[in-house]
Amino acid sequence: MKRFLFLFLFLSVQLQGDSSNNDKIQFESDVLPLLENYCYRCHGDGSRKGKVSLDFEVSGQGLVKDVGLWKRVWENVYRHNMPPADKPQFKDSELSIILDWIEEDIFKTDLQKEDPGRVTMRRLNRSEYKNTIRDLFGIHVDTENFFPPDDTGYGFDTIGEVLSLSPILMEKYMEMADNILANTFGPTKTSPHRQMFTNFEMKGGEVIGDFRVLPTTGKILAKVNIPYPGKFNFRVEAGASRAGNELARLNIELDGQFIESVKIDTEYPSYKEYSFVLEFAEPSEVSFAMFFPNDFYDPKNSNRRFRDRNLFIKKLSVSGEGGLDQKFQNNRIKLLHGVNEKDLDEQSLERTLKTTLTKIFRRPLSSSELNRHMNLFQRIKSEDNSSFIALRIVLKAALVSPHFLFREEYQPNSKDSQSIHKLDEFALASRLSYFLWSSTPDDRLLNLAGEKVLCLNLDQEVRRMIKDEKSDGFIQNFTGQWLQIRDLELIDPDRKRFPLFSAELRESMRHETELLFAHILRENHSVFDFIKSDYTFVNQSMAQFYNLNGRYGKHFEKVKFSDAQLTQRGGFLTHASILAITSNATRTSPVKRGRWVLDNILGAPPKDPPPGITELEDFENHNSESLSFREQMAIHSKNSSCSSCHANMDAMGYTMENFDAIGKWRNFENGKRVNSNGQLGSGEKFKGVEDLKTFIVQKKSDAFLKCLAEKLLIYGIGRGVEYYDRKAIIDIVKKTKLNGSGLADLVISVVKSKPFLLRRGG
Amino acid sequence: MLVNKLGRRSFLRGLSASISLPTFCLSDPFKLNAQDKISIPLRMGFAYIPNGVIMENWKPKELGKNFALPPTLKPLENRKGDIQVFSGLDHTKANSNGDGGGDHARANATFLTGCQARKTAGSNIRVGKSVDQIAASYIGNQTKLPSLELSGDKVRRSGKCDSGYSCAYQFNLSWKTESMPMSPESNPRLVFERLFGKSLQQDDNKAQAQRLRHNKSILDFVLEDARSLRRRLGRDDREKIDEYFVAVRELEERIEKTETKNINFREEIPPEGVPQSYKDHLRLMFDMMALAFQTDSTRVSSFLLAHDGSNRSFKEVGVSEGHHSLSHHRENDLKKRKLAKIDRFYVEQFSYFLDKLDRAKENDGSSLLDHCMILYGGGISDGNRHRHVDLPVLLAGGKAHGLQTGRHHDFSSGSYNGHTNLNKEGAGMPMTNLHLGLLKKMGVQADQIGDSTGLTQNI
Repeated sequence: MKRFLFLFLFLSVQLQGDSSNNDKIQFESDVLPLLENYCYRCHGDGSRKGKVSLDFEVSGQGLVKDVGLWKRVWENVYRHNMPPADKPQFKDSELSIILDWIEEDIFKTDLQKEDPGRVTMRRLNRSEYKNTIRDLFGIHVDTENFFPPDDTGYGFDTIGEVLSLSPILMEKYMEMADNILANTFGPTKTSPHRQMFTNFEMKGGEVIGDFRVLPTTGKILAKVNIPYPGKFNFRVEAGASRAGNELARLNIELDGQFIESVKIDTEYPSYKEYSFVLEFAEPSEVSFAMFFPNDFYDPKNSNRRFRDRNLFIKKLSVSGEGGLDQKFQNNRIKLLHGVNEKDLDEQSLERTLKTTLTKIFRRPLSSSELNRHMNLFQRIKSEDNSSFIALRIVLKAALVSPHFLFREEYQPNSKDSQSIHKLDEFALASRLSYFLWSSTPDDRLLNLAGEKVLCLNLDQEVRRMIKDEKSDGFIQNFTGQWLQIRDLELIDPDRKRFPLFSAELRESMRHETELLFAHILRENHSVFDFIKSDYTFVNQSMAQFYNLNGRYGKHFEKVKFSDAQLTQRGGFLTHASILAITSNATRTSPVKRGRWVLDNILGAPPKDPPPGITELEDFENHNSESLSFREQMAIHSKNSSCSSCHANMDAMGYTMENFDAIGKWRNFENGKRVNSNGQLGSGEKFKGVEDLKTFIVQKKSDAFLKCLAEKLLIYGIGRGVEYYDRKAIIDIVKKTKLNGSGLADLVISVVKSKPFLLRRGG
Repeated sequence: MLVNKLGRRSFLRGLSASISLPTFCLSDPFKLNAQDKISIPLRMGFAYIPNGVIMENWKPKELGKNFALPPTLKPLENRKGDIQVFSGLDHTKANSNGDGGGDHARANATFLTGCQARKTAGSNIRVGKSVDQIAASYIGNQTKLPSLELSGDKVRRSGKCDSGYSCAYQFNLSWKTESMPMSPESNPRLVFERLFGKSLQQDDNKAQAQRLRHNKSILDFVLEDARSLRRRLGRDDREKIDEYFVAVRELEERIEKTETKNINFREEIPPEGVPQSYKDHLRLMFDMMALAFQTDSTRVSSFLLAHDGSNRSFKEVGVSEGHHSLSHHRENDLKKRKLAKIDRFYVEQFSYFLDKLDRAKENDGSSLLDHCMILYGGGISDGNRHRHVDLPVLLAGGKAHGLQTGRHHDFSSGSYNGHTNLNKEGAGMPMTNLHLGLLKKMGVQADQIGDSTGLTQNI
């Protein structure tokens, strides 16, 4: 055996290790034996499987020469891609020896001075934009159906580097800003209000031709909308047939209250307009009644024309002078702090702009920024002679400004990629609020940031934010992407095989999973409840689907499973949502299910399949008569390039075979009893999903915590996890475990980690 | 409101009835000269199909003018004289080339760029400027929209895409720069509104002039914001703010254009949102591309019928399995038959589009199709083994501009005949040579796209 080892090594170690750290990891004595033990069968002593060789010249620069290769080693070891699943695995302590050494000696990271990384400026994604507008203006905008979809990276749509801004999006931001302002403050020009009711649009009496007629004492009604306070003119086109010795009367009533009475002096089929001016103090919807009090009927009268007195109404028109809907009026008053538009002086303008723009930009304005906005206002005002138009233009500019659309994080040394500094307090407020609310910081967060004490109140603020219903934004966006349940929108189960599936069930499935997450988050329950819990949330359709007895309504409620039910349900792995998105249209896919567990629960995604072959999934063939799926898989698993990953992936997937392709429990498939046994490469045997759950909770608790911590960190800070984040993640996991693994505690640890609180320039 | 009472059907009827409306012609300097055929501009469109095709049902057996349409191309029988079927075109930059798995992401990303997509799940995405965007940057200023990007994927997959590639590679065909994809629009109604404005919005000229003036002030103002912001940013952030600059400048140019050129196409009935049926959806999107070309709102467009790797099922043709799962057919005949049905389904929609272009007439009476070059195809030939060579490609239209329609041409040295070539390196011509040829036809001079080795005039 030929080794490419030279003992010049001690020289460089001597030079570096001056401060003489005795426990410093040595390549030759600490790392090399591990490589020999676990890696060299394929990647050493001349073997170069996959063109990777770990034979190094340990002289001079020999080791550090190929940083790219070490990056790959680090990645593959860290992600548990190597050694392959069917080969002996590193112990945890061994793993950290290798990783520590690579980080310290090859990547030259100073482990004492952690690199918090840097986050590329993030554009608001569609759901953040929507929530931000909701919180700024109190209105709902449909961004999903208007903006193009956001690109994603590392599994999430919060990643700065991939959130690009294409021209079409800019165009849409302009249009959306107009919509927002029109829906908040109303039209720029107030046009008179008009509403009209023809015979079909009123109620009561009977319809005859163009008219609505009251043949006997009674009322004709119209629901009239009064959008703003003021005087409104009600014009009734009416006529009456004549009989007896008086004219028909028309009594006007508003919401049952008598207002006025007139005699109808025009004989049907002629008609004329009778008008009433009514004044309203506030906007409302009123019931306008036209009452006919004096019916008369004399069938014996010799002149047929005078036998019956009836009231005929053709049309009701309502018109108001120019006015503004009250809600718009209120929003304008609020914007201007109660000052009338006409009396808007420089001082009140300044106050309005300061408060509004601070909220929009999520930070205070510098005086020069404020001046620029004031100048824009003055210019438009002089051109268009309207304070309101000018104010709208300023707001529109703010809504398409990079200060609003992007989340800039102020840096003292933006050009210096070495400088590490604490996040600016306002940037921290935004990181928190977009992490936990998918929305803009509220007044309280901005105030704390203004006083520079937000970083001292993180525990308290995170707990407050989680309790706030705005954290629904986090719950939906995070579960939607971590657990991939957004893909429920895409699944299309074969309806012949799965007649139970419906749009409503799809929605309920998603909701169940979100509610479990929300409950564990807000109650700070252990994250292991995700894997094994004896409760879930169901409504009537979910309860039926899960074969639960009892009565349930439209709304979801928490149910506790009895022992017998527990063998079937409990935890994400048994949620219909997860089981459905990991299936194909016509059948289950153990491969996809196993892969889902590796990706999202254990944080050990399988290696990429060799190019040219995608996933073994693609080779599944249920149509083949002669071989069962398992038998086919067994054949493919003999192919060593596939088996190393598939052994584990498939084993975990098999344990979920008791659930069909939409997540319904089954004991039989095609007349055969379902086999839900599986065995890992390392020997663990599972009989059904319960065993897999126990295995994860007992044997893989750290892996699961680490996986979840990573996902939260990626989602929260908006970049992928790098080697320099490893220490921070280990810390987060340790702290969380000490506290009983509560989800809220985990979130707090993430927020208090260095990658979240610090940043590097560059 | 009219819009709601009339269904999608009547919109389609409305489209064909009004397609020769003269209103827009006067506003277009190119069309004043109706006698001169060359004065009618050439348009360039791309339609992408995912997951490869069953090649033996796609590739004609004979070369040259006398070729029989194989089963998958049968729906184009009427248009046989308008198309060129191309063999021997390769995208070797979609091969792994050391990057491991991810053939679907690469096929998609390479198709119009000819570049190797940088393997990354998020940081530093890079591929290359796409052929349509090169054209748009040269001739885009002559039309209302420089280019139009369309997609048939209504909902995207969450998070993760193909084998460690960011989803950006798999859901975008067009790249404005090597790092900036052009997000495609999948809602036909929104496409319509981009082209013609909201039909219900009735601005008088004065209000419109005021709005344009305001928008200009706003864009000037925010550009200043962006400039001062840029000064204090680091390198990566600057890249983001530069995207902002590009987007705002393009918008500014658009505003100038709407001022000078007042396209009035309000008579059209806008489509409702995305229809339930995939077939209807694809057809509506093709309608939008036809309409955009017809009204000369743009001369460059791309349409991702479905992202590569799409696992959609096709109930329309009785296939309930997912397309991608099926595509790894392992020579199973039943699966291959189902795949051929899907391939043919896509060709049928394309044929609908070509018929539509053919019915639309230019001022001189020639068909719009004669003034379009539409490239149809995908970045994978054999879906089972993810081959990126001898791709399924055909080019339709362009007769009036000298395109050699009505033939089957093989660009390779002939080694692909009989489909025996298993070599991934390819023995054909880089597809980008064809791209360069298309650009030349568009009057755009470009030296290189991705891996191009020269320019082919043989189209």
